[in-house]
Amino acid sequence: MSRVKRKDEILVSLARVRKKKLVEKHGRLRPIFCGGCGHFAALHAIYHAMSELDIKSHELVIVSGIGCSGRMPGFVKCYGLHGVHGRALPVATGVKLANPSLQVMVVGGDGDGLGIGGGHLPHAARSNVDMTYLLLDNAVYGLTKGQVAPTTPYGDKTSTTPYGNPSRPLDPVALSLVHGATFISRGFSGYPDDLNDMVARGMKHRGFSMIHIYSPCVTFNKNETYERYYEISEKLPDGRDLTNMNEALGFALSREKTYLGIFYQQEGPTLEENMLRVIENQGTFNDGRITASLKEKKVTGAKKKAT
Amino acid sequence: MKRKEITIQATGGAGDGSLATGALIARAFVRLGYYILIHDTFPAEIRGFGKSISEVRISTRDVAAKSDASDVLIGLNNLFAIEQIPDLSERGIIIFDSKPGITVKDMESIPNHAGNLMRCYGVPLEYEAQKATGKKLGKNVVAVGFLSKLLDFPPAEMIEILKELFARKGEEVLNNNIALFMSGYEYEDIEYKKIELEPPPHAGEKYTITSGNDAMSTGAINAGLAFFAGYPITPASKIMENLALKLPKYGGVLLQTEDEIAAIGAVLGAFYTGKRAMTATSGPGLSLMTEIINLGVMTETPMVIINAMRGGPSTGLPTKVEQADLNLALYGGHGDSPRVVLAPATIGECYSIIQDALDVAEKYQTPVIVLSDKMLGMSYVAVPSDTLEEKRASTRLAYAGRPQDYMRYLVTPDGVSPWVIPGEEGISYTATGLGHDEMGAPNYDIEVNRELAEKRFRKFDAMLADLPPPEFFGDEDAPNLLLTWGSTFGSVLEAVERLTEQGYRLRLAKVKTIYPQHEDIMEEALSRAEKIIIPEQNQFGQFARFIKGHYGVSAEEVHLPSGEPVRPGDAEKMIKGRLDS
Repeated sequence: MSRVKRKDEILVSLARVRKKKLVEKHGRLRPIFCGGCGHFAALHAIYHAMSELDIKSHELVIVSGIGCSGRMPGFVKCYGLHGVHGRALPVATGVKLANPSLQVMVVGGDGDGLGIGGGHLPHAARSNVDMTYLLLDNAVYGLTKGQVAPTTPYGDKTSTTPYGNPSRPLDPVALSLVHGATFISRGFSGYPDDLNDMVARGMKHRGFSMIHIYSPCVTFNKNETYERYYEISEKLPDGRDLTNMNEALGFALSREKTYLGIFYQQEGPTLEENMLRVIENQGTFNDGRITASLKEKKVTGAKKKAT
Repeated sequence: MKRKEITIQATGGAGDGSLATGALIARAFVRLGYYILIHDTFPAEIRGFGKSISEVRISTRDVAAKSDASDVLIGLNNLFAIEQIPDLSERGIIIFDSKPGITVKDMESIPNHAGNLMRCYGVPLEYEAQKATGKKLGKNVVAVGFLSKLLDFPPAEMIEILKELFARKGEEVLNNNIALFMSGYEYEDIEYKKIELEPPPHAGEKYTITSGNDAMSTGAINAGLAFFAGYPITPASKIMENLALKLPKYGGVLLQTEDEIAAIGAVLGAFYTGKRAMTATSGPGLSLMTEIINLGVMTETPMVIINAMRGGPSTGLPTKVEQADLNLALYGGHGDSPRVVLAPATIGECYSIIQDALDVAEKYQTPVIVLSDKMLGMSYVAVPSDTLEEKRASTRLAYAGRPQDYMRYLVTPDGVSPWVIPGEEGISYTATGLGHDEMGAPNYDIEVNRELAEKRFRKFDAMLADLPPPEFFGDEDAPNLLLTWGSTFGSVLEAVERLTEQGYRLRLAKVKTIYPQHEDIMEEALSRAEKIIIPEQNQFGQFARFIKGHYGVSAEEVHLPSGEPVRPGDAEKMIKGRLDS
């Protein structure tokens, strides 16, 4: 495909995300993102999911860290908490445990979630807190104007790696898989319709949903562009068994292509259900397998409205 | 002559049961109606080198400090006991394991090391234990048996206590312990002289033994704590362990997180969502938490942090005592980030101060740091059982206006904005650590931010009405004023009493609310004093510098010895030095 056609395709795709009605209904402040920023598509995917799943503004809490992506809560009509760099996951865990009936979403960038806050991802995943994590990956530190990021490809030149990135990138999909997240997918701002669908599915999922989103930085990253992501990415084959962990890992670790779509999905007891279970069993010690009895009795307060 | 008080020290190596011995003795005397204070000293390592010491001060009056010297030393390990002889008073008593049939080298013989006026009772503790139960274990209970005879303690009472402690471990364990106790009590082969104590001050009343950590856990639950997140660290861990057991019974959630940053983050998230939440940590953990404490200041989200101080910078002295985290608590944060700093001075106060902390944090929407320490957190005293039963209600300023008019950071005369929590219908807002306007929208306008900063500071004037004022002791018109905070209060109070007896004129202030200051009360007291003396257990004079800077007064710093709880005699000596200079 020629380069010109690519640009056309991008413009058409981006035009599709400007759905005025959704913005009027769910938007709050005017986004500060640069024109063409991949974060617009992620923001619209949140609007879309709220509309699709009929989530009222008072039922959703978006917690974020710092960076361009960290400003996201301010652009959505909902309860928001814009905090410090890298700590959105534990803060959101506190929110969810304090009121399990809230829909909780975390939005963060690659530096926020895999750099400074890298220690929290394994624990949010393994405890299976019921929340949706949008990791907006532009492979660069955008708000600080173009330094190397944990997901910057090997050899890429940035303002702090003028001779090329000496380290290999982290893969949030593979990381989430091995740490036990129960919904793992990868989207791309260049395919906004797929992204809308993916975010809605992630929010519907009961448990820790990891959504890794390629979200190009049009100002500071001249390497990882829309064009490049169109080129290197491929959709996962249809009709897969989403509970097959080995296959999912195979796709995640593939060196030939970068796959888009849902890698893995499996239901399991969530942290807040286990906590409620402990409260229900107060005074009596269960045998340490708090989850076993969950199957017999449904725990209230942690259920999703849309099924 | 009957004694007003007696201090008993049990010393041994790991596994000898020294700490259990102290706990057993304390329990017995609380049952009779005496006041007690237990302070345990133990190495930071689980096994290996080092000795464990349990010191029990039994008194006819309420005490908040260790005594100057022990009166009785129970040596469960002879070499360690010899090391402890200098801690013993001149006419002290030593009970040690005489090990029949084994010749002890001169250097290991306790009588050879004891002072001229001391009395040494060699009881074959291990031999008697084996005779009573067939096992070598339990020599500490034999020693307690012998001590009970010395002190004329009724054996029936002790058997009741053993039943309370061991009944659920099965009949064999209980019977063995009773047999061990009786073998010590009935040991007849040596001559001894009874120790007589004055009658107990509150015989027949119900008293409970509590540590500061226990009091804080109970206090927090009774104040409506619904969420606790933490990361284990000595000497604060016991709070988390207590709450892990109890909190679910009250519908609360306890989460052990991957680190201290996650713990304080989860506390912020939970309190933002309207649940009373707190964490407990010690110095190194508080260092990690400072950034999110600042976020609490900026987003006006309440949070309560208990910091049980330990010794030294860095990992320092994990099981030792110091009052050296005040600077971090007051100033640990970038930008202007005011937070409430409270410090209980006695173990009993730990209960109410954590309740004040939760109330004030919620009502004024601010972080509150409570500075406890290892002495308060891990020592035990007897408190009346019914003092631990008060419930507190929510103090959140709710919003009653039209939803569309709601402003999260509304500027008000007292600086407190109405607070809506996530989930309330019709309203929504973003709490942000960025500079923001009254709506919560990011805003870098200097005037707007100055107004919001003033509002955040204004709250601290309003909240003084809800925070404990300084308490005064001694001569109201004395020319010398002493200021204390935290656990050194107990020793300083005793020192003041002794110095007053010697003719010095002293007034003592106990400051529980360190920031904000009750300035009217403090200024009045400071202005009347000719000499101000501020003793505290650190090398920097952290509180003294704060007071000097805050009020522009000159004051003498007294740096009390660090590591172990301050003994009243040390405090007396050092304060006297300043009074005479």
